[in-house]
Amino acid sequence: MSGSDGQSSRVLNDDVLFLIFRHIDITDLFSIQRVSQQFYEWTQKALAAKTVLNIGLDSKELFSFNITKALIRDRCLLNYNPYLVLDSMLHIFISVKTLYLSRLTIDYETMEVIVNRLPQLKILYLSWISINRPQDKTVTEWTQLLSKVTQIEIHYFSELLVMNCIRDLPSLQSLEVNHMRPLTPQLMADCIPSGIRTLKTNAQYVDTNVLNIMAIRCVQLEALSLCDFNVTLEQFSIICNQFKRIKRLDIKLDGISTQELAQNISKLKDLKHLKLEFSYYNKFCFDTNVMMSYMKPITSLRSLSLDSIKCSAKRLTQLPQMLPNVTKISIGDLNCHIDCSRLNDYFFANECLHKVMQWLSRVPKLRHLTLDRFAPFLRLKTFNLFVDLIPTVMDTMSTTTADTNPLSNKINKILNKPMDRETLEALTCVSSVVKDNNLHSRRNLRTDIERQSLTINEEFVK
Amino acid sequence: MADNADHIDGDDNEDVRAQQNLIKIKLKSSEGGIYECGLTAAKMSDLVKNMVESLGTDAVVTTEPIILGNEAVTDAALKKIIEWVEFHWDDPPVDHDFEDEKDRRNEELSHWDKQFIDVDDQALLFDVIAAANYMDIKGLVEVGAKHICSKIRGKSCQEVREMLKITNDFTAEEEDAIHKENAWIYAKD
Repeated sequence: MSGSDGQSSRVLNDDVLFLIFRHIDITDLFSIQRVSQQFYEWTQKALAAKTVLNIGLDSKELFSFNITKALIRDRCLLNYNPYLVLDSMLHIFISVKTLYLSRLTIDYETMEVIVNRLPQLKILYLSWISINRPQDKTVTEWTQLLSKVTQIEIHYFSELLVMNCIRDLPSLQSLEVNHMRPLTPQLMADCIPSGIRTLKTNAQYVDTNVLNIMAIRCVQLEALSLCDFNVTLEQFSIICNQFKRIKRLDIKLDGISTQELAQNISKLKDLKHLKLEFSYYNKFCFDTNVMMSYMKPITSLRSLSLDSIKCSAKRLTQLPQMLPNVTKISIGDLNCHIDCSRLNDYFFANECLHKVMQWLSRVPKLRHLTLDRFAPFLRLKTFNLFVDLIPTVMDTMSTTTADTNPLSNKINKILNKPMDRETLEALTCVSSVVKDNNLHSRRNLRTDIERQSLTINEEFVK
Repeated sequence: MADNADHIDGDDNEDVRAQQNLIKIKLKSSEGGIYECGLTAAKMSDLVKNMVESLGTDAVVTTEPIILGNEAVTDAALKKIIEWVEFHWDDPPVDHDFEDEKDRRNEELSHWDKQFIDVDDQALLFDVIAAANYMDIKGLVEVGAKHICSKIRGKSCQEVREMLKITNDFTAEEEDAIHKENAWIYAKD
């Protein structure tokens, strides 16, 4: 094995070669397969072991196993040399379980080849797909074809035909339809599929009638997201009374009282993630004292997101009791100066916010807090308030700015927000503390930072 | 072992590991060379770990060398491997609290690992990887695989052959056939 000079055709052990090829993406695997017999054999095996395949023009580079370039011409999947190419390509990827198709025009035959050629295919994501020559095939034929896949998720499927066929698709788990011109509440009521678990749509397509039909048909619904339009109180109470299994709810409400919200929301016993948006002009009064007199603590809730609310420190006293298990809170556009008469006064506004933060910090399991769109004159100061006064929230902040490895994600999250000068300074300081970017220092970053801040405080005391 | 237990007595564990590493055991390469290695470090190899544990913890063998019979475990390769485990045995354990564990796994090699694995003698490099695979040291195999992978990426067949000193054992016809079979992938290039 260790014949040091001189060439040979099998320099590497087969097992090791396979381990190496696991890290190489599809395009490179194809280009190196003619190196030697051994390479050919093992690239074939590595290709056959890929379980995720991505075909489409979506610019997001989510998965490295993208073979789009080889297959696409003019936004159409393979209409220059139909099926033969696709056929010869797909027979390699026999273990593909998840297939992403995005931003493509596709016809029935292509879809047929795909479904038949990938025997392991379990999950099919269709995103921004339109259909070539839809008149060729009937709804029943499409339904039969697509029902061979165990799980289908659809984001924006533009054809009316498909809207009609999805009704009888037991495999359809997730549906996202937005801005679709021919869609009406009537059509929605007709074709909403029964096995659906996740529905995300524009609220204007879902009226009281649709909700009533869904309540009977879609017993498995777990996540409902209605965006862009306000949901009325009547609709909201249907949702809370009928969809008992809902775990994730994302809606926009207007003209609802604190009492009504509390009474309705408390009926959802499995609710884990709640996102409520209120009207900007008619902010919802988030009064935990009132809410707690109409409901029990929401023990199932894990994350809460509120947009456009008004509240004050006095009204938040019950918050920690109300949200015993919540780990993530996100608040946007908070008006917290109700009982501060001098609301343009920098100092008083700060004081109110400070009190609000104190109550927030007492939520027992809170680990992640996101604040968005605060009054601009407050923004600079908020950061300080966290760090000075609230240990748990400070913990959260340090996680978001400079924790060990998910750093890149989190830094991105921070960078997407308007960056203030102090954060920038803080980050510059980090780079002076941590000189060498290696695994060890990254893992210990947080301890190092905490130690550093301790030293600074000690010096200050002296 | 439960994650919780790991976290609670993490410091204790570190001490125990450090103490155990003072115990030196002997490893014998297929060429006959015998080398000393700390016990905790050596246990990074699942093969060695299983051998030591099947002998019972009390009777940790410090006199008799553990024989690593695979032909890839040459003297030079074993020395390299011991260097790696002695550097990495006190790596902090994987933190389960991070959801982004996958990202971390995909991250680049650390500076030390890069220098460690970038050896000029290619035969030695392959031996190290094959030996690490035989000894079941997952971290080191990963380091080696990623290193070679980064060398291969974006190269043509001829370049890969030259770099890894591989002879082309295809006949011209065979090579053509493969090229034709996958013509679609080159179609757009």
